[in-house]
Amino acid sequence: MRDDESLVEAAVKMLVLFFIIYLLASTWYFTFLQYRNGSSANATDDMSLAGLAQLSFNDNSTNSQLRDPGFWSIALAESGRTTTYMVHDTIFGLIQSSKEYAALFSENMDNPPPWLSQGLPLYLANFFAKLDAETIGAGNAAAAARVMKNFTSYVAGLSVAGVDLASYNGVSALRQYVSTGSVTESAATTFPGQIYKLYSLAFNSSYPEEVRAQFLGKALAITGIVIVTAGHGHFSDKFEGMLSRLNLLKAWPKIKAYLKDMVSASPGAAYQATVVLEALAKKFPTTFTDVAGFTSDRIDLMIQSLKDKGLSPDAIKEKVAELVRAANDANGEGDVAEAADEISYRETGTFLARVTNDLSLTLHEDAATKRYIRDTFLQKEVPGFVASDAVALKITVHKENELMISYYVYQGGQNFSPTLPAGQAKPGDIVPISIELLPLDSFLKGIPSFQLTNPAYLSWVADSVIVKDFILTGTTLQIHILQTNPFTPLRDFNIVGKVEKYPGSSTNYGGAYVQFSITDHLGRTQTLRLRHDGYDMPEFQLLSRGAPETVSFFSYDGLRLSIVYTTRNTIATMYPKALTEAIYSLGDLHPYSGPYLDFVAGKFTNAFMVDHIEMERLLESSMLYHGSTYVVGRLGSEIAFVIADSKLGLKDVVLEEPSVGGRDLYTRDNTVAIQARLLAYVNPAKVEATIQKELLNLVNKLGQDYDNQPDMKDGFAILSYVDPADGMLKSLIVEVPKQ
Amino acid sequence: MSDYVLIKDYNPAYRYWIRAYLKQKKIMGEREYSWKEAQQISMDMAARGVDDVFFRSYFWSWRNHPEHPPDYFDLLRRALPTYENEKLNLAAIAQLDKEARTRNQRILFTIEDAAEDFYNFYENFLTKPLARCLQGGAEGKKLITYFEYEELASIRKRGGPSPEEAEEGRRTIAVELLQWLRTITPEKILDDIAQTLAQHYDKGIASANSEHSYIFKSKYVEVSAHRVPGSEKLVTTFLTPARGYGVVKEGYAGVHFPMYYVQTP
Repeated sequence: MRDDESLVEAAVKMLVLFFIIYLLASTWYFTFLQYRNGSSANATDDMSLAGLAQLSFNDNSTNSQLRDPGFWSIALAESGRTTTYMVHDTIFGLIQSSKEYAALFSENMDNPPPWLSQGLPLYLANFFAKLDAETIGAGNAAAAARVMKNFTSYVAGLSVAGVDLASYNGVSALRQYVSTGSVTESAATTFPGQIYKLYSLAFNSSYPEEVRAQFLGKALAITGIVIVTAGHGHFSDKFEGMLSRLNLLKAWPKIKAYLKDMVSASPGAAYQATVVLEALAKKFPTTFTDVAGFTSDRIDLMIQSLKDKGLSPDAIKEKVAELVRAANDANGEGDVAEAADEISYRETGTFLARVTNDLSLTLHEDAATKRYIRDTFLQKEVPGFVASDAVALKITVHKENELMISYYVYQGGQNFSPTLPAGQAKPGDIVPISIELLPLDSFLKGIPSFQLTNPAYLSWVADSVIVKDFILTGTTLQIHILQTNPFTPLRDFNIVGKVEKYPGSSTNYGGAYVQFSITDHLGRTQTLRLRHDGYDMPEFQLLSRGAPETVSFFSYDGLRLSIVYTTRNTIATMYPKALTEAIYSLGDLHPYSGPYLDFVAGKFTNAFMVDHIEMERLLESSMLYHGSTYVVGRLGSEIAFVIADSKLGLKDVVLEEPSVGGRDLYTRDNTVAIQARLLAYVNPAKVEATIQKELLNLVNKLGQDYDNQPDMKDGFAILSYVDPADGMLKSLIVEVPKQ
Repeated sequence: MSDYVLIKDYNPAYRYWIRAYLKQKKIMGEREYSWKEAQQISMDMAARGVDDVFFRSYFWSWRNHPEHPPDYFDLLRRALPTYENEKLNLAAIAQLDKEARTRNQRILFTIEDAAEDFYNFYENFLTKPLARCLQGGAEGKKLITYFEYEELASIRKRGGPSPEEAEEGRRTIAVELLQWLRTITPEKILDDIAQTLAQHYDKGIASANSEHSYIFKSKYVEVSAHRVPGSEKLVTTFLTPARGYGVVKEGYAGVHFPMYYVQTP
C-alpha cells in the first residue's frame, strides 16, 4: 500500500515538474521569438496609429485562426490580463478605484460613457467578445480577415491624444517603461504606437498559434484603451470637459502622476486629494497651475508618510480630507502644500523632503522652480522659532533606526534650504526629517569630546589636549580642557570666555557657531568661535583681523595659554593669571649711570638697573636658552611687564604681541608706552657697544611712539640682557620724557 | 694707504673656520644646517646634560637671524688663536686673510672698503627705501621709522597743532633727509672716515674708561671706543655708519648694519 501511494505521489511530482518546465520553456521560447523578430524592448516605437491601416490580413494560413474559438479564448484571456494591467496606468484605474471617484466622474461628465458604471475591463471583454463572435461566425478565413481589417481600419482613424491625457504618465512615459522593462514586460505594457507590430506578430506564421493569440490579446487590450478614450464615445473630450469644469485641465499633466501614486496607497485619499486640488483651483484659478504639481507632490508625500507610519487607508483619507478646509481657508497658493506637511509632521514627527543633486533639501523641484521649506512652516511646527532672527536649527534625518543630525542657521527670509552632509542622503532621495531649535545649551551639550594634537611639534606646549566639556552660566562660557603637557604638572585647565554671538553661521564652514571673547590679565582680548555642524568634528576658530582662522591647538603652561591657529601655526598667547614675580623674581631696582647710557645722553630723565632677575620656573629658562627670537622677545616683554608692575608702579598695563610693531607694552589709558627687548646673548667683545646701540634704538622707538600716541606722557625703554660677565639676567630701565 | 686695519664684525669668510671647529668638536657635521636643526641639537644636548659654551654662543648668535649663519668675529676668535695676551694678533689674522683670499674672501679691510660698505648700506637701507616711501605717498607713521631721535624731536617743533600740519612736518623732514642721503658718495664717506679716525681714534683709546665710552659721531660715520672689561689698558674701537641702526629689521642689525673693529698695525 505504501508503495502504491509513493508511486502516485511521484507521478504527481513529475507532472508538476513537467508543467513547470513547460512554463519556463514556453516563456523562454516566447522571449526568444520576440528577440529573433526584432520585437525587443529596444524596438523603435511607432507613435502613429495610421499604420494600422496597412495591416492586410492576407495570410490565410494564419487568418484561419480567427475562426478558432480556442485561439480567441487565449487572445481574450490575454486581452483581459493586459487591460487590467494597463488600467492601473490610466485614469480608468482611478475611476474604478473608489465609488467616490466613479461618482465624481459621473457627476461632472456630460453623458458619461456606459463603461463608467460597468468597469472598463468588463466593458472591453464584452466588446471584444462581439469581435470574437463576428470572426468565428464568418464564413471562411478571408471573411474573418475582413472583419479584422474593418476593425483595425477603424482604429487607425483614432488619435492617441486621448490616451496621453488619460494615462498617468503619458504615452511617452509608457514608451520609456517599455524600453526599460524586460522583454516580457514590454510586451505586456506596450503603448499604442506598438499596436501595429503586435497585430503583425499575431498573424505571423513563424510563431506558434498560442503565441500569436497572446500577441493579438495584447493588441486588442491596447486597442480597447484607444477606442474608449478616442472612439465614438468621445471619452477624452468628455474627460477634458470634466477637468475643465473642475478647473484642473491645465494642471492635469502635473498632477496625474501623483494621483496614481496616491491611489496605490489609498484610493479614498487620492479622491480626497482631487477634491482638495479642485477647491484650491477654485480659490486660485489664475495661479493654481503654478502650484498644482507642488501641492500634489506634498499631498502625495504626506500620504506616503502616513502610510509608512502605519495609518490605515481610511485614516489617511480622513487626513487628506482635512486639507479641503485648508484649501478653502488658504490665503496663499502654497498653503495647502504646507498644511499637508504640517499634518505629516504632527502625525509622524517628520515630513518628507527631497534631496537635490547638491544634497540640499527642497519640498518640490520641477523644471521651472524649486520649493523650499518656508518660514511659516517653521513658525508653526518648530516651537520657539521666530522668523525675523537668525535661528540655529537641528535637522534630524530619520533613516530606519538611525538618526542623523546636522546643524544649520536660518538667516531670515521666506525660504530655508539646508544642505545635508554627504553620507546622510543621496541625490534624488526622499528623506523623512524633523527640525528643532538648537539653543546654545543644546548646541554645547551636543559637542562631543575631541582631541587636538601638537601641530608640527611646536616647542614648549602640550603634546595633546582633549576638549572635554562646556559649561554655560549666563553669558559665561567655560571650556574644560585636559592636557598632556611635559612642561607643567597641570593636567587640565579652563578657558573662560564671554558669549558675544549665537548663533553665527558662515557660508564657508557650515554648521552653527558660538562666538565668545576671552580677556586675559594683561588686557589682551581674543575673539574665538566654536563651530559645529552636528556630525563632523567640532572646530575652534580665532578671529584674526576679522577673518576666522582655524585653531589647531590649545596649551596652558601655568602662565601662558597658547592658541595655535592658521596653517603656519601662528600662536596667540593669553595670560589667564596675573604675570608676577612668581615667574620672574626681580632683584633691587637701583639708579644706573654707567657707560651703557653714553649713546642716549640727554635723551632720558632717569635710568635704573635691576641687576638680578631670577626665572623661577625651568620652563622660562629653557625658553631663554633654546627658544626662537620670537620666544625670547616674549620673555623680554613679560619681564618688562613685571618690572612695570612691581618696580615702576604702572597699573593696567597691556602687553602687545611681540611680533606686532609699535609699542610693546602700554598703559590702557595710553599715557605710558614701553619698548622692551631681551638680549639673551651679547658678544662679550662688544657688550658696551651692543647695549648702547640697542638702548638708543629703543629710545628712538619711544620717540616714534610719542609721535604716534598723542596721549602719551611718559616712555620707558626696558632692555634686559644676559650679562656675559656673570651670566646674570639684568634689566636696564631708561625713562624717556616727551621733549 | 691708511694706517688703519679694519676687521668686520659679521663676515661670511669666518664660517669656514667656525664650522670646522664645530666639526672638530663633533657637534655638527659637514652639511648645511638650519637654525631649527641647531635648536634641536641645543635641546638634545641640554636633555643629555651636555653644555658647550662655544656651541651655545654659536646657537644664540644665530637665533636673531635664522636665515643667516652666525659668521661673527667673536666666534672666529674663540675658534682660532687670534689673540695674544688679550690683544688681537694681527699677524695671525693676516695669515687667515691670506687663506680666505684663496676662497675669494677677506678678513682684513681698509677704510676704502669700509667707505664703500657704508655707502651701500645707506643706499640700500635708507636712500632707496625712503625714496620709494615718499614716491608711494607713505604716511608719516612709516616715514618716521627712518628718523633718528633728533629728527623725531624736531617734528613736534616744526609740525603745527593740527594732525595735517604734523603730517606735513614729517614729510618735510623726510624730504630733507632724502635730499641729504642723495648727496652721499663713497668718496665723501671715505674722507669722513679718514678725518674722524685721524682726530678721534687715539683720543678714544686714551679717553675710554670703565665709566664711559668714547663716542664721536661725524656726518656719516661714528667711532666709539670701549675699555675692555677687566683691563686697564685695552680698548676696543668700532667704526659704524652714523645712522640707520633702527631701520634694520629687529635682530638683523648684526648681519646688515656694518660694524668694523679698528686696529692699527
